[in-house]
Amino acid sequence: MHEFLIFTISGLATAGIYAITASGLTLTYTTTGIFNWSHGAIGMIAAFAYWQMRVGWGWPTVASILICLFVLAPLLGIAMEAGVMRRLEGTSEASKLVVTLALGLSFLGIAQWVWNPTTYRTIPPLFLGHTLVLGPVRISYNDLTVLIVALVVAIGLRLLLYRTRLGVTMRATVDDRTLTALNGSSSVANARAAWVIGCVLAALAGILVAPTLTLSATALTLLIVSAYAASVIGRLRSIPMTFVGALILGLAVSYSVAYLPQNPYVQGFGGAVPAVVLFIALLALPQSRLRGHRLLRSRELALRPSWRGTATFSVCVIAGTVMLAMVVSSSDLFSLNRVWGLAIIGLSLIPLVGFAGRLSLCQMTFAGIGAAVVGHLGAHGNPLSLLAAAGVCAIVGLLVALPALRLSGIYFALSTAAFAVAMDAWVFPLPPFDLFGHQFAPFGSGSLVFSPFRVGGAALTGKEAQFIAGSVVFALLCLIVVAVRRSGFGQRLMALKDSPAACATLGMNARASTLAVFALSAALAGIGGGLYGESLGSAAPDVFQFFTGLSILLVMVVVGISSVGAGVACGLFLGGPTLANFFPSLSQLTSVLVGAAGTGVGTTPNGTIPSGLRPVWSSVVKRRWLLGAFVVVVVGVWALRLSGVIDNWTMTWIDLAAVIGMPGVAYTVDYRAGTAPPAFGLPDRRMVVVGEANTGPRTGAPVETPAGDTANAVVVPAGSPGHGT
Amino acid sequence: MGLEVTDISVHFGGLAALSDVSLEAPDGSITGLIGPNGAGKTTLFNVIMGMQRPVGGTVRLSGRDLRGLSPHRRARLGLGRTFQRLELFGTLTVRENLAVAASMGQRRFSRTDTVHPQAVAESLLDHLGLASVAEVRADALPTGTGRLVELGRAMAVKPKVLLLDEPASGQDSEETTRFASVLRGLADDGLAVLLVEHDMELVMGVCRQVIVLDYGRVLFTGDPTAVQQDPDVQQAYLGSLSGATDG
Amino acid sequence: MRSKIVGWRTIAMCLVVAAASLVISSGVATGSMSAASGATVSAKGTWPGVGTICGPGSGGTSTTRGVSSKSIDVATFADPGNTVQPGLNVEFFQAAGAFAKWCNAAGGINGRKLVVHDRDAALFNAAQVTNQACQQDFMSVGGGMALDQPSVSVRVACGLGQITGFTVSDAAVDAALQVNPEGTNNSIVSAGWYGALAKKYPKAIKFFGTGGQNNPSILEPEKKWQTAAEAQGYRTVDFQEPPLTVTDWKPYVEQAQSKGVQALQPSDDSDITPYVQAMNTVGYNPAFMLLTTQFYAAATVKAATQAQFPATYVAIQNWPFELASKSPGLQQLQGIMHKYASGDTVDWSDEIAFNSWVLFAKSAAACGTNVTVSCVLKNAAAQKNWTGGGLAAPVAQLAMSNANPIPSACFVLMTVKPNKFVYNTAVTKPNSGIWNCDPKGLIHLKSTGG
Repeated sequence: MHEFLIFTISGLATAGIYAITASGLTLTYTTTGIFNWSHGAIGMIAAFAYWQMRVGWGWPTVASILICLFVLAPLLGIAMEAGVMRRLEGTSEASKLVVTLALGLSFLGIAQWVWNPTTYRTIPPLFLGHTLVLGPVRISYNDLTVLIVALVVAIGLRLLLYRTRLGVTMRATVDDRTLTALNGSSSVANARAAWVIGCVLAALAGILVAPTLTLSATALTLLIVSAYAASVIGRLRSIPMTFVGALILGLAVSYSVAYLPQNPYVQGFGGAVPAVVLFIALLALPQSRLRGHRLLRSRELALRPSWRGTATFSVCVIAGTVMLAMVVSSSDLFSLNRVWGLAIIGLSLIPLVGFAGRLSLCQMTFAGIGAAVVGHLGAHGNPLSLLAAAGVCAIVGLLVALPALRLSGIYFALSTAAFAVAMDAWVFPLPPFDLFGHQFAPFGSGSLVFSPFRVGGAALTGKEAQFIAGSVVFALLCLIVVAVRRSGFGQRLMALKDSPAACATLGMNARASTLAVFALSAALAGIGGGLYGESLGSAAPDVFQFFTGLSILLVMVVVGISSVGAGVACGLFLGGPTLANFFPSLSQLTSVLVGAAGTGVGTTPNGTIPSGLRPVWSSVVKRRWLLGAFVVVVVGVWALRLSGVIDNWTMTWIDLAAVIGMPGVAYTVDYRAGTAPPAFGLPDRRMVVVGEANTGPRTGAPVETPAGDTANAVVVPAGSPGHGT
Repeated sequence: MGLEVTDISVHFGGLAALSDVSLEAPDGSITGLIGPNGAGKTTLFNVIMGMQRPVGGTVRLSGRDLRGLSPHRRARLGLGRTFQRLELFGTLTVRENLAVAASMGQRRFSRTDTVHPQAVAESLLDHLGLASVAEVRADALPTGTGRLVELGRAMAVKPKVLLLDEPASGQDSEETTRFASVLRGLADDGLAVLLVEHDMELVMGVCRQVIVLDYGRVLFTGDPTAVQQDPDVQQAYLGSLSGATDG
Repeated sequence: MRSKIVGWRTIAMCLVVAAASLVISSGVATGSMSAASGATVSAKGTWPGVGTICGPGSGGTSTTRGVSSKSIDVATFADPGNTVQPGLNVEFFQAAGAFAKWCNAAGGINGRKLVVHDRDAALFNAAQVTNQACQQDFMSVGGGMALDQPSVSVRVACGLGQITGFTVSDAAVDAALQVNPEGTNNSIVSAGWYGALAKKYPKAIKFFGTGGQNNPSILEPEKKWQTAAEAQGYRTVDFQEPPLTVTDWKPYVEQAQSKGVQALQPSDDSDITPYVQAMNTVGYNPAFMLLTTQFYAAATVKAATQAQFPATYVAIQNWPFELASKSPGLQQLQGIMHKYASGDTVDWSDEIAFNSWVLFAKSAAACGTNVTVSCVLKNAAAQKNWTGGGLAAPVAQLAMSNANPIPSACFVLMTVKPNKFVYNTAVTKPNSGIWNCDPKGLIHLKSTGG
């Protein structure tokens, strides 16, 4: 009984923190329609800022807390509203998701940049050393504070929403967003107030949770992400239900610590409890209504790739890899090897996100499963283990997607996130167990060792061979992805993304197609994971964690989620010689940059390749002599490097100059001929709707632009003056 | 047999959007469904299609009760519809829109007379006069043409009953004329067409029967001339029509 | 160490911060761990009690991986990048950098400069970073990874010789191609401190509670400690296996209390502060608490200012900083750290790091121009009465890790007080200099692998 009381109190304290952060999340969602994936990261930033003032600079506790809560957090809220969130008004749910995720990742990167993650930091609990003795139990003043603060927040929100004018209009938005906008209540003021309150609550939770664990940016973010389960229990609408959800969550976590048997197989489950609660809460949600226009709308370019272009691309990838393999030193090649695994994991997102418009946050988890399969089955270097990895991942993908299918948009994404976090916390670190007489462990006892593949009787031990083999696998999978895109199935997926409602009325079973594409994506990710593990030589579950997957998703979206070329960019950027190699002191630059680029997705949904690179380069490709010149330069420089005349750096700079310079030459030629502006862009049949993209965000006016209005929007061929560049 | 709707009621919150609505759209004829904005026409379509669950009432297609069936199952039984707000596949071309629709309608294992989706698309392009815009992305089309494409897309799956939600809005008179002849053709082929439309000229021109919906109730049922002459209908709807634009 | 970006902020907040940091830094300076200023640093590359280990020379060509005529690439392993306990053993990187600078300033090893590569395993990537080291480095020196088991097969397979700071898992302890300057062995555990404490707490030891965080690499040594304690009369009433990340220690403390644990060796392997705070909250006060070497660090005595410790002892086998005046080697370490890694904390990890670096430099220097892994390891394994030049308890005869080395029986017990450790002679009962070297402290375990 005594034990039970202790855990109940500890669970209540945890619940208090969850309630505070989750109610902030719910409030911002209901008022602005944006599910803020960076909510956890805001709390994390606040915790670090609090540490900086309280411990780093030794300021008084009260002053530090007040500055964090009532100066920094509101400022952040106002800045976020004005700088990022306001522009999301009227964009697709997917854009909102990607942008807020990117924002969170930026916060994470910034925190790790400012506060060196290899330094040990702790924050002393509030009222250290004071405990309240209540009969048999003792409650620390810190826990007591948390409980009181949670209560105050509950009462405060109640008063705000029911007793103030601001609150009443905010509640009205909850019931009907468009209606409130039409009635003319200032939605900007409402939104700003919501973001400020949301940030303050996130910060409050961050500050309160900080003393219970070592300050670590990722751990803090994840811990607060757990609170999302409470919001989902509140169906993202009801604040009282959110508090109930937090209570369930906090007690579940606490009792799982107390009463789960001390067994290594079950222990890890404790860490997965919030994710499991989230998953169950999602499954209990009512079926989402079938509506059109839910996902990335038709501002995007979605050209059907040609076989000829794809074949050329594949050949270039392999040729470039061979050339690179011959000039790079072996230790550089060891790290470059990672490129293809990551590229394939990036590629795996294309059918699911790019074609079908479904967002998965667990692609890295499938990669981890694939790696585990390859590590176990490929012990003798059998490359067929990659196919087994694909098969296993496809099956797991089906099992994950099946219950989640009925969910749409953010709920689907949340369920994949819950799956990823649960796998990270529980399944991947499982110690070995016996299954049907075989000893089995996802990652052995901590790390899987991969043996090089054997092809045709010879092991691919050489780094060069592995590197080139990776590019061949990537090129093959690119062909598969393009084949899917060109097939009837691919077209149906595109159609499904454009209008799920129309698909249903045409007799398409959206669930079956979504299941199929989810399984396909999982299978591709599994192959990528296997190859990634292979290139690392040995891999721990840590390599496949949730946050890494987010970076991949963001890079893919930024570069162009429907172009196979984005896979290469993803691999090179995340696995290749990164910025961190050039600026060792700025090791967080990569994630900050990815995040910063991701926050721009709301306004440029197509990505760099379709809207930047491809139009620019198409004018080069059109001119065979120019293309020839480019090939001559690249091959020539490479030959010079091989013969030792120049070094790698010179080669890199010349190649880079050629890549940038050639389109310039093409443009100059066009300009002379007087055809520059119209020709300098997309082919005529690719049209871009200008009006819709630009008017909505600026005026902040009604959310949804009916498709029927396309007639009123300005339709111009892309590449007309002022647009092509 | 066609489509039979019996005693359908839908509530939003405390508000009754439809109360005990019954109507019939027989095979081989065009039935008009008119009423002021907010009368519940689109809601009724959603109920028929399975996208909105009613609190009571039944929907029958060729005598079969559709209760509990999901939209795509209903579509496969022969229900088709277009949308008031266009729901084109914006990233695909017109040709692709029609072809992909044709491929969705074909059940891989049960059809014997499978026609290649491309061929279906080709004949529809021809039939609807869309050949000149075949390679244009659907989201770049003017609304009027878009409505034709949506009709074509619905026809591609060869439905028995077609629900058309303001198909003529945004069309110029030339397009409307073509549209009317296409509709008559469909009825001649034996389809049951339920037409929601504000263009009275079109409604009166093609419909054999007209149903007037007001505040979620059936106000009147009869042939076009009778509707025009009914004083209640004039009071509720037609009189105010001059000011109405779209829904 | 202060975070990097405070730069522009400090300008704005200059006055306030200056005052604050003065307070903080003076607080740190009163701690026992800071480098003693005024200690002498030999610029000549000699180490007290060991001789000349670094100096100029001709280098010479080599085909060995990581060895060129001008330089030797060496890997140092640690885990600072992890999220469970950020900064874990970052001291290994700091010590390696400082030692390399000092050694290179004296001319390097026979003219070859040391190039240290920090290999951060971040706890879970041990095998992966070892693989990286295998691409480039000659040997691994003066490091340690908390979860080292997965790295062993990789390291041995690629011939990466190692002179360790510490090893944790069974597989790492008796791995091939390795010399441990402390002579660590799986079947012979040095644990004399349990006996020493048993004499002071004869009743409490019948209620022994211990454990370790749930990872094979950590649990293996914890179970060896448990066996060694039981061999000296302890009776285990509680063995806990908490997960690696614990956000609330109260349940574990509660369990220890309810099982009546009086002699407590906490199952917390990272930061002791929240653990003791939980003990205070629950109101648990055992007869005594025993901590292992890793808690001989500033964080522990700082925690003692914030929370109420029971009688707490830290058992160590390296030379106490509190007695630095009696060890010229430790003074030289402090001097080097002060000069080349100014501002970094200096603690037990620096001692074990320097212990291996001194051993490596001496062994490598003796190889002359032909530096190979087998030569360096052979020279290292041949050392007798090795103390790292006054940094650690003496090991009579070093040996390859897989050749059954015998660890030192010597130890000292330090008492934890607010902001300081105190050398406890009454419990230690020294019999050889500062050390208690009673050979009964060497416990031979049955060779079941613990």
